[in-house]
Amino acid sequence: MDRRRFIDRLSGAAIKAASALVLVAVASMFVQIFTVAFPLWESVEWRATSASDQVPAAPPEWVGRTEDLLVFRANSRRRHWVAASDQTTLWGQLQTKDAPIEQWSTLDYRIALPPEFARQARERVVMILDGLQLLAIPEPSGTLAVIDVEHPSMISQLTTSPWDTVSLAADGRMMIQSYHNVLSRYQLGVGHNRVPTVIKLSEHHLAQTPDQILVSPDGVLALILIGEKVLLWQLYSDELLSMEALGAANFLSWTSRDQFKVRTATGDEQYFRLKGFPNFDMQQLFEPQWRSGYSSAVFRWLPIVENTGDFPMFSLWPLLWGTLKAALMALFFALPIGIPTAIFVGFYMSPRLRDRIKPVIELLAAIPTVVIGAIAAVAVAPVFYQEFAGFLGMLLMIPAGVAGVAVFVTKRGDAVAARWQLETLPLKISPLVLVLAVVGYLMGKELEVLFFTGDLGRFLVDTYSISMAQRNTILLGFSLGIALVPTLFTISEEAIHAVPRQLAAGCLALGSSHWQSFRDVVLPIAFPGILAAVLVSFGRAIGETMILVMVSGNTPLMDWDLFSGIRTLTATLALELPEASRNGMHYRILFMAAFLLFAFTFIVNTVAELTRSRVTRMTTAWQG
Amino acid sequence: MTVTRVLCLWIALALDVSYAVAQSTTSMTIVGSDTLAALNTHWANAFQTSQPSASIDVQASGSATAPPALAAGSATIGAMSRRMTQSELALFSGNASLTLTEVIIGYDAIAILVHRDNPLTEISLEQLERIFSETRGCASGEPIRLWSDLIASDILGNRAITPYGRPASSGTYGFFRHVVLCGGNPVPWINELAGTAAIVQAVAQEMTALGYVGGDIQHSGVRRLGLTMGQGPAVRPSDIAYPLRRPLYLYFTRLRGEQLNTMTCEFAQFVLSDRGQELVSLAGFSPLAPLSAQAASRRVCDG
Repeated sequence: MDRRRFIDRLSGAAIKAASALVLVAVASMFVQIFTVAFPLWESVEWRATSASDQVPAAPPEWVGRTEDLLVFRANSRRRHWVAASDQTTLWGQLQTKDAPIEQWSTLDYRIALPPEFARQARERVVMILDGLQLLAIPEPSGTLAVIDVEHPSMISQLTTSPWDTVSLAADGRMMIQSYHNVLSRYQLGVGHNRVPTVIKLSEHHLAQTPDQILVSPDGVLALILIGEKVLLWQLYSDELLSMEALGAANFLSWTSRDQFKVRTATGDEQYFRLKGFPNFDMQQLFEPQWRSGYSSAVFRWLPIVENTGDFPMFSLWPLLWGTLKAALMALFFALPIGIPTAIFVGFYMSPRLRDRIKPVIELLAAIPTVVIGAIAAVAVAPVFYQEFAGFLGMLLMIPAGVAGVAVFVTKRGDAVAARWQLETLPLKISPLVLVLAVVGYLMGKELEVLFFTGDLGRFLVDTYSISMAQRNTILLGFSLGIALVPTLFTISEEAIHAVPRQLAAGCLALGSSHWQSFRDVVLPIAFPGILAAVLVSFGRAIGETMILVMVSGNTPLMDWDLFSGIRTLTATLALELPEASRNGMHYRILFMAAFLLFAFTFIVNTVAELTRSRVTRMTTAWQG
Repeated sequence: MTVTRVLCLWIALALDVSYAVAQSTTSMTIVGSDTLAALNTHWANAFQTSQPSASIDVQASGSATAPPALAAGSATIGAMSRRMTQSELALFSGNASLTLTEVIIGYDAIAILVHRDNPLTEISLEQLERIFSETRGCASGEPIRLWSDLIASDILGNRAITPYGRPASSGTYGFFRHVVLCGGNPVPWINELAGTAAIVQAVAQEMTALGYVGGDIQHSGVRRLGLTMGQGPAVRPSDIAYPLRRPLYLYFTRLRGEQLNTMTCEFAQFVLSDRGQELVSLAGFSPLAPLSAQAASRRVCDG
C-alpha cells in the first residue's frame, strides 16, 4: 500500500518537475534572446583612446592646389573625390580603388565654374545619386548649388536657409546647418527628370550658437561643438545621444565611423571612440529610410557582415511582410484541403474506416520539411514556369469536377446515394481526382495554346509585364501548405470527432440531413477547435524555416506580386546568424527579430490553446 | 605484489603511449571559408601522406568564423576567401601573445553564370552593375531588368532577368558588392541561396537566371560568361586579366615575436610548393605565379 502511494507521489512529482522544467526552459530562452538584443538600447558613451588605435583613412593625400579651400568627399568605397576651386575653376581628382590589386589610381578633372557660383564656400560634396555624379556647393546665404559633373553647365539652384556653419554627409544625402542657435537638418535627393531636391526634415533650438557641426562619415551621426561641450546627435532618429564637456576643445574631426579627434586651442589632440550602438534606432527598423542613391524613402533589409563602411539598412518590414505573405499563401492552399478532409473523416466516415484513414493522413506529418523543400526546389520549381497553365488547369478542374460529381449524385437521388454509400464516397472517387487532375492539366495546356499563344508565361510578360520568378510565392505557398495539412487536419478532426455522436444522431432521427445536423449542431460546438487548428497551423507557417530557405529565393521584397519571391524572418535567421559577427549590431538585430518571432508564435499558440480548451469544456459539458 | 606490478606496468604503458602520441602526431585545425573547404581537405590529405605524424582537422563554416577561432586558439590556420577586416585584425592587435602571418595561396575567379541554352556569351561590368545594383554606386546608367535589354533572342524575349547571388554573410557577396557594385546596394529581388551548389543548381534550372558564384563549378547545365571592359575583347574567368579575381588567404597564428612552429611552417611551405599549387588548380582556382609562390614560400616561416 505504502509502496503504491510512494510510486504515485514520485510519478506526480516527476511530472510536475518536468513541466516546471519546460516552463523554465521557455522562460530562459526568452530571457536569453532578450538579453542579447537589449544592449542595442544602451546609452552611447565615448571613451578616450590612444592615437594608435585609429584606423587610418583609406584615400591617399591629394597634392593639388591647396591655397583655396578644399573639401574631400568620398562617395562609394572605391571612388573618392577631391575638389578645389578658385574664382573661375573647379579642380578635382577622382581616385579609384581598383580590384583586385587594391591600389588607388587617380584621374584629374577640371570644370569651369559659371560666374555665379565661383564664390568661396566652406563645404562642397560630390555625390552619386541615382547614377548621377553631382557636386553640391552650399553658400552661406542659403543657396545650394548643385552641378552635374558630367554636364557642368546644368546647374540647379536650391534654397535652404542662411547659415553660419554647415556640414554635409559624405554621400551627400544629409546636410545639417546652423544659424545662430537654430539647427536644421536637410535631406538631399534626386527627383523626377534627374532634378536635385532638398527637403527640410527638422529644426532644433539650441541653448547657444554652435561653433562647429560635423556629420559622421556614414552620415548617421553628427557632432556639435558648443563652447566646451560636445553633443552627439543621431540624425535618423533626430535625438541627442549624449553630451559631454571636453575641456578646451576647439576643433573636431571624425577619423572613422565611430571614432573622432578633438583638437584643443594649444594644438593637443585627443582621440575618442564611441561605445554602444550609436547607429541603432527603432525607426531604422520600422520606418522607411532615405539613403544615398534612392529617390525616395525605402524599406530595405541590407545587412553588412563585413565592417566595410557600407551603409547597412535593417528594415524589418520586408521580412515581416514575407513571413505573413508566405503564411497566408500556405493557408490558402492548406485550408481547402485540410478542413473538408477533417469534416469528412470526423463526421461522415464510419469509425472503422476512420481508424485506418486517420493515421495515413497523419503520416504526412512525418515527412521532414527539408524533404518537401528539396522536392519543391529541385523537382517542381524548374518545370513550374513551363507547366504553369497546366497547374492552373488542375487547380480549377479538381474542385469543379468534385463539385460536379456531388451534384450528380444528389440529383440522381437516394438510389445512387445508397449504392455509393456516403461514408466511403471519397475513397471511391479518389481515382476520379487523378483523372480530373490529368484532364485539368491537358485542358490548361490546350487553353494556353488557344488563348495565350502557347506560352502563358510569355503572354503574361508581353501583355501585362508580369515576370514569373522560379522561386515564387505560389510555389512556396503550395509546398508550405502541404506541410501544414497534417496539423490542420489532426486538430480540427479531433475537435469535430469530440462532439458527442448522440447529438448528431438525435438530429438525424428527427429527420435532418447529414449536412444539416453537421452545420447546426456539430459545427457550432467544434468551431473553436477548428479555429484553433487554423491558428496553430498559422503559427507553424510563421515558424517554418527549411522550406522557406530552399524555395523562397530569399528576396526581401515588399509587394503583392504572387510571382515574385519573398524572404522570411526564419530564413534570414538561418542564413545570417551563423556568420554575423558576434555581439555586433547585425547579430543583435537578428536576435531582436528572433524575439519578435518568438513572441508572435507564443501569442498565436496561446490563443489557439485557449480556444482549444474552450472546445474541450464545451464538449464535456454536453456529454455530462 | 602482483597488483603493484600490474599497476606499474599500466602506468609505464600509459606514459609511454601518451609520450608516443605527443611525439608522433601534431594536430592542426583549419577553420574558415566554405569556398576553400574542398581545397583544404585535399591539402590536408596530401600533407598527411607525406607527413604521417601530422593530423589535420578541417572545419568549413564561412570566412567570418576563422578570426574568432584563431584568436581563441582553437585553430591554428584560418582559411578565408577575403582579407581580414580591420575589426577582425583588432582581435589580434589586442592579444599579447598571438599574432598572424597572412599568405595569399591562390585566386578565385567569381564566375557569372547563365543557363546552358542562354544565347548570351559575354557581359560587361557596367551591365552587371545595372542589373544587380539598385543605387548604382559606379554611376553606370539606367537599370536593366529585362533580357531584351541585353540580347535580342527568341528564347528569352523580354522576360525579366532573375538574378542569383550569395547571402550577405559570404565573402563572395562582399567581393561582388565591393567590386561590381562599387559598394552600392544590391536590388532586393536578388535570389540569395545558401551555398554555391544551390545557385549553380538553380541557374541550371532557370532559363532567365543570371548568377554569380565563387569557387569551382562543374555542372553541364550552366555556362560561364566572359567579361568585357571598355572596348577590349571578352576576358574568360581563367585569364589573368579577369577582373573578378579575388585572392584567397590562409592565416597562420604564431607566438608574438617568434617564427611559425615547425609543423605549421612545413604545411605553409607545402601549400606554396608545386604540389600544393597543383592542388589549387585542381580545385578549380587559379594558382600563384611560380616565382611569387617560391618567394612567398621563402618568407612564410619568418616572423
